[in-house]
Amino acid sequence: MIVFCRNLIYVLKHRRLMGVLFGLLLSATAVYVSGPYLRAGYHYQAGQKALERRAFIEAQKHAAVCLEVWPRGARSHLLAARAARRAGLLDEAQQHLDACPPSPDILEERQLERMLLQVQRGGLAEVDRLLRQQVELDHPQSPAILEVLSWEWMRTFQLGEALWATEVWLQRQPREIEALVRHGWICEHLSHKIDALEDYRQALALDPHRDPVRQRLAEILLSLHQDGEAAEQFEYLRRKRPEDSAALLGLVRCRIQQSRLDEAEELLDDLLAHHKEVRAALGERGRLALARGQLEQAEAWLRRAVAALPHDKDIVYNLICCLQRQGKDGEAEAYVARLRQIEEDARRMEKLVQQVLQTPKSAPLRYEIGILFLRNGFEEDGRNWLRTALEQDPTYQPARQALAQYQPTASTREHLGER
Amino acid sequence: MMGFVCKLASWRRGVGKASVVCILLAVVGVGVLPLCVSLRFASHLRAARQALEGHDLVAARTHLWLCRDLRPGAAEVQLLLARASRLGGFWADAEFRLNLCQQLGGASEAVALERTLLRVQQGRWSLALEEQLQSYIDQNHPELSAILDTLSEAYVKIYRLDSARYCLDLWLERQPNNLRALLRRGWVRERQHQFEEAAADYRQAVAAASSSSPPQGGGEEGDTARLRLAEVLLFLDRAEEARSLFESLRQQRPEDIEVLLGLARCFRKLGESQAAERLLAELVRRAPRDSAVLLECGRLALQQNQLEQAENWLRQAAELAPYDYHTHYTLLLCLNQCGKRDEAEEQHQRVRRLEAAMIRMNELTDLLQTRPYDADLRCEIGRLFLANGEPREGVLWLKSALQVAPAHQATHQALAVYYEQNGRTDLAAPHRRFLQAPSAENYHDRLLSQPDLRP
Repeated sequence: MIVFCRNLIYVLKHRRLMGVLFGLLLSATAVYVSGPYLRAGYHYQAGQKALERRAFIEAQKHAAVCLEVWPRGARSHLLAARAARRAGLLDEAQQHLDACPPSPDILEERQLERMLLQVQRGGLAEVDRLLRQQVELDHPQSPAILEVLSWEWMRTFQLGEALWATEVWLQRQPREIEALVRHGWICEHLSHKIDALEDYRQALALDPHRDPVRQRLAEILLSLHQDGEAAEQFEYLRRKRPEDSAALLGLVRCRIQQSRLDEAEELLDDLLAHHKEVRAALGERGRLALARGQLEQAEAWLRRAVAALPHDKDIVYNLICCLQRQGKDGEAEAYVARLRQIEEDARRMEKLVQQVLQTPKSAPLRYEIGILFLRNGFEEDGRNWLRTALEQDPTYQPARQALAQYQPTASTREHLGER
Repeated sequence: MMGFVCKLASWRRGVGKASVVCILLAVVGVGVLPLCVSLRFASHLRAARQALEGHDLVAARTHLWLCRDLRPGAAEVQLLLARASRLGGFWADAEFRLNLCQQLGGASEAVALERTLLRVQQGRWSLALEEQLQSYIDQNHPELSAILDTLSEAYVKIYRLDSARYCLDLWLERQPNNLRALLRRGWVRERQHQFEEAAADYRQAVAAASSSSPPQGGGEEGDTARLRLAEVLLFLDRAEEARSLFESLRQQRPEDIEVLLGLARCFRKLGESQAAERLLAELVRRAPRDSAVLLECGRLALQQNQLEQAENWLRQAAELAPYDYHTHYTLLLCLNQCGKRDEAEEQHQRVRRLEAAMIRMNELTDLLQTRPYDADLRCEIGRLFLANGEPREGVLWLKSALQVAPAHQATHQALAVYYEQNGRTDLAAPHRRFLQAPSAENYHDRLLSQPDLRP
């Protein structure tokens, strides 16, 4: 005690020392008081950056920290709403927007965010024109708007609109990977494969870890008979994800196309041993046997493949070839009729898709495409088209009836579950 | 040693002074920063207003966005952004910004006026709306120029020439050298067949454009004024004067087909056939499917008595412009000169039909001046446009008939037929449904919200 009092007297006698101590105390208090706000500020910035990187979950975490400090902070709620919406958590986004105080400073941003949420909930029609105009007027939020619009148009197969959206998006942000990937997807569906290839290549140059993009790239290369490059891509994917059956199947196809049949057989054995559910592998097995002239084996594999995938044009065609080469013309005839039907449907589908590009809001067209998909075994796609027909015209009875009739089968549910 | 102590003491005093200066600067900075923001805001707002007055919408919007970044909650900025969007035809954005302005506590009267002007520009006319705007005019509203600008433009769009003229005269009384007003009045006077007066307006517009610095409308409107003046002078057979205007325009816009065609017409009227021929050959190479160019080729050949060539040119032009009266009339003259009696008779019938349609259109537009809210009239104008190969105009007029009378059966019928003939059954469907059950539902808003129905 005496020592303390002596020290105190010493300190009081020395004013400079007192000043230093006072300064330290003041700084500590300032740090204590402003610390949480500095932390929240840091997290707000980090959240914005995470959103730019499309790390939505990370952005949500940063927003949560901001909200701990500023539970009524308009900007924090807006950040949280954006992160949630872009992560697909629409109810959560709605809650944040509802909780966002009506601050004049963010009124416009909040309204815009509400509209984007509305679009993601399927209500594009009401705000379509306004959002397009924001893009035309070069609103700072244009990339965010284009991201939502392009997705919605891709979902409803309004590819002309979607192409416009992604092109404008790329004009504003030429190195935006998501825009490149979507542009590629649209080009692919418009049969502009070379453009799609270019987009996917650019996207992979910017981010080589996008495996689904690499898969698409490899498949297009394969379809363009650029087997060598396609095989390289599939091999890369296989090395990275040995359990991935799609990459393995792609590689098998490359090897068959390259006439490296022994390798293809080895890979197929591997594929069928580990991925029994890959029905397309049966067809490849048949094709391989056919290439080797093992007609009986080929027939057996192809019959199994046809049973599993009755609407696959290549499998049916290979089976016909196989049967004809064995002189079983009578049996082949039944499959020829099926092949004709598949080809007819494909032609009709191509025509309808062209028509739907011209008149994207036609419910009857969308209904017919849906029915064609369903008839050819693409149940999920078929139902999607029927749903979009009803979105265009909710009173369109044929689509409603077809949707009720084509409930997902057990196998489809299983398949979707796998996906 | 003593020197060092003195230096130390003076250094400490210096540090003390510097600290005081820093603290003072910080205090002043905290006070001055908002002032700087305010000054910057005010300066950009002023610049935006000026740009809006000069119709430079891009510049206006750039300034306004800077203002918005400085003060995101400023209602006035949203109001001006709404105006810029309205003038640029971005109506959905204008509506959006007006709502924002209202929510931000913007002046309700200003918002109401802007909303009214937006409705006018969208063509959503009503008698009440017109009366309201007339009251603004009578009160000599501070925004009278903006009101007259919008109103006159909207009247021009629906071909109410007398009303447009009234607004333009008022506007020019207040701003005698307003380039846009002069150009618009010149256009109206042309349609009212007052070509001398139209030329006077264009002449004044040219003078106004050359005297204003920086040029109004970015210099483009000055060129338009000269082009219009040259066209009217050519029509009034003052080809010499028109030629000098076209020549000067050519120096600035050497690729402009309209300018080159005007010049070729001057050459023809002045008897300089070779010059006209050279220019037309160049034009045909550049625009081989431009009916106006082909018509001029035909006229020149006709003037040179090269009947076979003339017929060839005119037939091509008539094919490309099946509803153009002048083209078909010139072809008729050519056929007569060629002595092709049967073909000339057939062509004569066609010309008479076009003439009848033109006369009927003139009658209808005359009637429209006194009966602007007559749905029958609008429907008939729309049908006439459709029948004469101008579907966009036709649909707009039919739409305007539905605005006046949403349950107008003949208009629904015309639209349904038009859409069905063009393979747009989806667009025809609501009209058909209405025709089947006219009283069941009010289709008005839904029909008008169809994208292709908007002007």
